[in-house]
Amino acid sequence: MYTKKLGSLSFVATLFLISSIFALEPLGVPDKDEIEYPDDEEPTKEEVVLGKTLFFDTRLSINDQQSCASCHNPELGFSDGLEFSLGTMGEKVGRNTPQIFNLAWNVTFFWDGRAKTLEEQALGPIEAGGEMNMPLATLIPKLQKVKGYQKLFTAAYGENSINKENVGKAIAAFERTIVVDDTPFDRYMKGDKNALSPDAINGLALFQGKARCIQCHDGANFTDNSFHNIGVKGDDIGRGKFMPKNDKSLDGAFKTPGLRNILYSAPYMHDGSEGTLEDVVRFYNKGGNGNPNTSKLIVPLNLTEKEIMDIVAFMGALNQPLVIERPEIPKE
Amino acid sequence: MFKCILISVLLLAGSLTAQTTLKGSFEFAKKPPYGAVVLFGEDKSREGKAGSTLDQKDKMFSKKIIVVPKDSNISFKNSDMIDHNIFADDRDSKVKFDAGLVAPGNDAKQASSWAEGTIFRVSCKIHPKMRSYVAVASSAYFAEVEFDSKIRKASFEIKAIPDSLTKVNIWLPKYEKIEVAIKKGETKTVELKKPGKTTIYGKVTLTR
Repeated sequence: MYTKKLGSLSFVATLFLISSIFALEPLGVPDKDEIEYPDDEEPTKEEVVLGKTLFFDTRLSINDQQSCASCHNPELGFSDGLEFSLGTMGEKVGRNTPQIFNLAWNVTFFWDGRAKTLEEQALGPIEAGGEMNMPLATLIPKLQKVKGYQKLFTAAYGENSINKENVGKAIAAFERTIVVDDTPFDRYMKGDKNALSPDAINGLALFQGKARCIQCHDGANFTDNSFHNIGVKGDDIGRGKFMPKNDKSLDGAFKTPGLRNILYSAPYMHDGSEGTLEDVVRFYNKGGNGNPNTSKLIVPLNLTEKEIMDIVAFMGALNQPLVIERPEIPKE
Repeated sequence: MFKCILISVLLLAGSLTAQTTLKGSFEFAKKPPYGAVVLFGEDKSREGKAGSTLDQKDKMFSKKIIVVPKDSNISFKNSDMIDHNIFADDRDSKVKFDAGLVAPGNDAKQASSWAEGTIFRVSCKIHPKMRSYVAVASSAYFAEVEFDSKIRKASFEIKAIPDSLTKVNIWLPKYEKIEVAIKKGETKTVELKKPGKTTIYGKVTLTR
């Protein structure tokens, strides 16, 4: 009894030590008061309706074949189920489509963090050659001709407000409403001790302890918003592109994705190379795939089969199915 | 006897260069911003003088907002156990630099050749959650005011202000800059707004 108590105390002490050394944010329920809205103002209902309509409208691609939702499909965890995304002309995009849950709390966007705001990010894939391939200089007059959009933009931003800034603002406003904060894990954190299975509770302890997941997946949204080379093989230097030329420390590093609703957005990693969450845990268990610039945080974990499955069970408790009703797209 | 003369001289000197204290408080309608700088901008006695140090520990900056004199420097010190790479790419102020990778225990200096009144954001390329603001001000009479996102009020104090300085400047990142004339014995309240917006985000009350 005494030994057991001492053991649990030392486990808590170890977690405390790890947290204090690496300044980790505690896991928890996302706090909506912490969302930083542009100009500190929540979006209006009209702004969100406009943003949602734009998000699902294929007019935003050069050949009217692809909307934001083509890759960020709500039924596929706001992802597309593909290893690499496809552009509107069928081109293979260089990276896997990231899911977009709880981006309201994010501070850096895209796998390599090249966008500083959600508004900036929202316009990126629309313009990108090889993705939606739609120059904004072409998109704006196209939208201005649509009576339905004239009404929607006027309701959201006033007369004659169809411009690229407002397209980005509206899409970002809609994306900030895609919130996952009532998962079994959240209910467990609020005191419902039956919300998690014993396996998931053990998975939570492993997540914060032996499996070291929390080293990067910390905080209420399970991301440190930082960049790590986790050992995925490949030539893509990711964040390294944005560092000074003589600094190779982040070559092959990519942004830590949040884990809320992660179950729905397989496959995983920036290159979609891991098919399931179990594959992901096995990847980390062996200490990555041997990328020469792998972070020192990635080490073999020596997890047992039972422990691997418990961590997967815990990640299965981070999910909250969201039903996203499709908006009515203006016909003219 | 000598003591008496000395005290008299000191009292006389004190009355000739009378000094006051400015006390103030911010109050916001909603979540407050990151920080503010309150200063007597007429004074520029620190221009070209000793610079400022912004430290980093536990993946956080030591200050949410820091004042650096013009024509001086700011040192980004790394007291953390991990590397940092501080940079600025601020669209509003047009300040752009990359201080490069700084290992634990080291620092990187950046010359502060920016114009008086410039405010810009700094962050870390490795840890984008890290954020602080730098305000270029050469006054010796200033307060760096940090806000807690959960608390809508914050107070500050600037001591030993010469009576000759009468104009208070209030700078908050992304807010309209404010200048208020205030003399000894006065209390004034001003509203906090953002450029192009009619919304009143809060107020600041000053007493001298």
